Amino acid sequence: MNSWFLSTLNPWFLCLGFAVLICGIALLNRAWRQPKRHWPMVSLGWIALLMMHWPLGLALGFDRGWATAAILPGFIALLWLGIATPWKEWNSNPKQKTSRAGVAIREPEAILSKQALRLGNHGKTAFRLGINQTGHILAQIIVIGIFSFAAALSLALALFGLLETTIANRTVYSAALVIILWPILMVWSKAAISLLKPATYFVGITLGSLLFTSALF
Amino acid sequence: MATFLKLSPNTVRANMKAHSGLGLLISAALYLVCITGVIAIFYPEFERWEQASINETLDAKPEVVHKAIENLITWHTENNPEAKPFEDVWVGLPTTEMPRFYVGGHIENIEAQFFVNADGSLGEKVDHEWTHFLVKLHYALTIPGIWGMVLVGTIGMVLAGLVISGIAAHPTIFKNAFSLRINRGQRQQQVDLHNRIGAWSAPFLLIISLTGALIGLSQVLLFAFANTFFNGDTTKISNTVFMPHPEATNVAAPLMNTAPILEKFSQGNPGLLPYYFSIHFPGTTAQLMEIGAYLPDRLVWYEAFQFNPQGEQVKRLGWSDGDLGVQIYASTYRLHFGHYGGLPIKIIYASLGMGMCYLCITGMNIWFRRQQQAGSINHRLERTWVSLVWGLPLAVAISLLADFVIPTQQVIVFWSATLLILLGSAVLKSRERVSLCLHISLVATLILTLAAHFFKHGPSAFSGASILINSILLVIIALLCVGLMIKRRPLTKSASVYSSTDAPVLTD
Repeated sequence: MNSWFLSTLNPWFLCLGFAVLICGIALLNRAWRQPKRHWPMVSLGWIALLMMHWPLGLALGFDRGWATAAILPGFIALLWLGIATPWKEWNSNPKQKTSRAGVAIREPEAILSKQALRLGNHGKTAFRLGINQTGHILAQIIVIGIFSFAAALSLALALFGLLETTIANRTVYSAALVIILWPILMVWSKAAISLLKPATYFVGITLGSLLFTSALF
Repeated sequence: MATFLKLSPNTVRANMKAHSGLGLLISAALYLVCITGVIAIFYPEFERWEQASINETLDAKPEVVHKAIENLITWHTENNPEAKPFEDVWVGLPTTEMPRFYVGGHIENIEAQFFVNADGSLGEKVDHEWTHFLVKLHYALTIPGIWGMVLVGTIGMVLAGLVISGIAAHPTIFKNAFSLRINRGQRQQQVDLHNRIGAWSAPFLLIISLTGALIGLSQVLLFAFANTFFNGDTTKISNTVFMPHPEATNVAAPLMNTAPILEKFSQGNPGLLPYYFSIHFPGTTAQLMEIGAYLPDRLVWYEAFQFNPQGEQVKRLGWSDGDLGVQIYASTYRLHFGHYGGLPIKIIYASLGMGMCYLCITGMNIWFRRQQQAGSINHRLERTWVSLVWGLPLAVAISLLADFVIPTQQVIVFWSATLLILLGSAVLKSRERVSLCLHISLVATLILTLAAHFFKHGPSAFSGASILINSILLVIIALLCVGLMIKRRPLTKSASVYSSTDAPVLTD
């Protein structure tokens, strides 16, 4: 057993995995630093980052190797970025003026209206409907938080009822569906212009899904 | 291909709104969960650090183990004559990660745990309450019952939403993945750091948030599934995933001999690393021994085996080779804690975890700068945020320092310190002063904590896990001092680094 990794590992495949990882990051770095998009190089970089799962899987075992391969590129790339950044220039030109148009192109957040900034996402709708800020926040919590959870959970319940496998598998697959679906529904409803559309969809999904379970009967 | 992948400006804008709104909703709680999560990666080391003077060993002979159990039961009979016998007794077997040998027992509101001496006699009481407090602060914000876990699980879900909306809101996030413009003003620095850290740590953030949410929301989901399909009987599901607890018989029987079972288990399973065993209803006809063993080369948390008093294996949990769903669930724990590759993986997790903390800070800073440009900045709110950024780590550090003096009141100390810090920052009118005061206080508290540890444990503070934790604390203190010097430089000149005039000016 390796005393650092507290497990057995194959050092040759570990080194191979690292080599493929460094190649992948170097390729992406080179491709993304060019003014025009260089698709072959970008593709090769991504392929290298995907390929590294194989040697790392052999070095650390399938599940541990793949888990490591998922987080390692980010860590190494951030180290790379940290080393390559000229930190001496920190705050060397702190008062640079930026045009609104320039900011808008680079950062979409710059084009948000003042109303939307103050009230968050559905500010305009709230004003239109004459709902006060507290009521609006409450409505957001209900629709974006609770209704979206209800929709994700009811779909998971439907999946639980429809799957023909062991109870343990049905439980875990359905739970996995909730935790994947809920954040997606939250983002979608928060991004919507009006809360009415997501609320309607969520109620529809919830009621429709529950038809596949015994909850309604 | 580029056109195919391109998101419309409206989609980008909508996702940016979602990212901003969701981030604002949970920023402070997420920041607290992130800080405590980074520290909790090292919880086995912190447990050893808290009781640094305990003798460490990798040797636990089966006959010594059995003698320790007998000594524990004798201790219980002598010290709690009115109480019922222990319902469960357990033994922590030493491993490389936790080279300590302890024995414990539980009945109703009595729980006792002791380290075991080489001859099987009971040693010092196991007492690493601060680590337990910290872990509870991470997974439940110290809220009792299941509600804390549900809240933290929900925060995990919002974090996953932030990752999704963050990527969808920045069409050039990968194209700019190596572009860090640190000389273009405060806001551009913050935006670039936020986006670069966020983009590269997105897989880590998704892993942490999804596994955390699965752990946190498992009770609610279990309840929902059981209510819908099994008339509310949660054991119908839990018994397929976890080892069922035997039923009590309350009929006395001789205490089962664990030594031959342990010996046979170790010989028959060389690839497994037993790290605990327990006896349910010891000294009754219902008694069963349960051995838990790590699988060092797997991601699943452990594998468990039940033996009857005759030494026959009666059940195997099947986390390592059972249903795929069970294996997936069993892998979430190590994946979340970063405990699947020794110190190297822990360091990667801690570094990316620090990145998560920084994402919370820069995310809010960007929002405040945007508010400023829109002409509607709330200075009190910004001051409160600054006080939380420095105050929450300070409150954690204060709870650690206070643990040397009042070792059972961590929850009160932590929340009182947080409240006092927030009140204190309300008195100080300048955001820079709040930041500086709390920064200095944090350095001072960490130095005092180190000094207290050296004073209490002497040479033991320089061995085992203590040397790792103390080295990390020293590095943090050094980095904070460097930060302090950088922070003080502009303050002692004329304007502050975060002065409102420093923000990039938007001109039409």
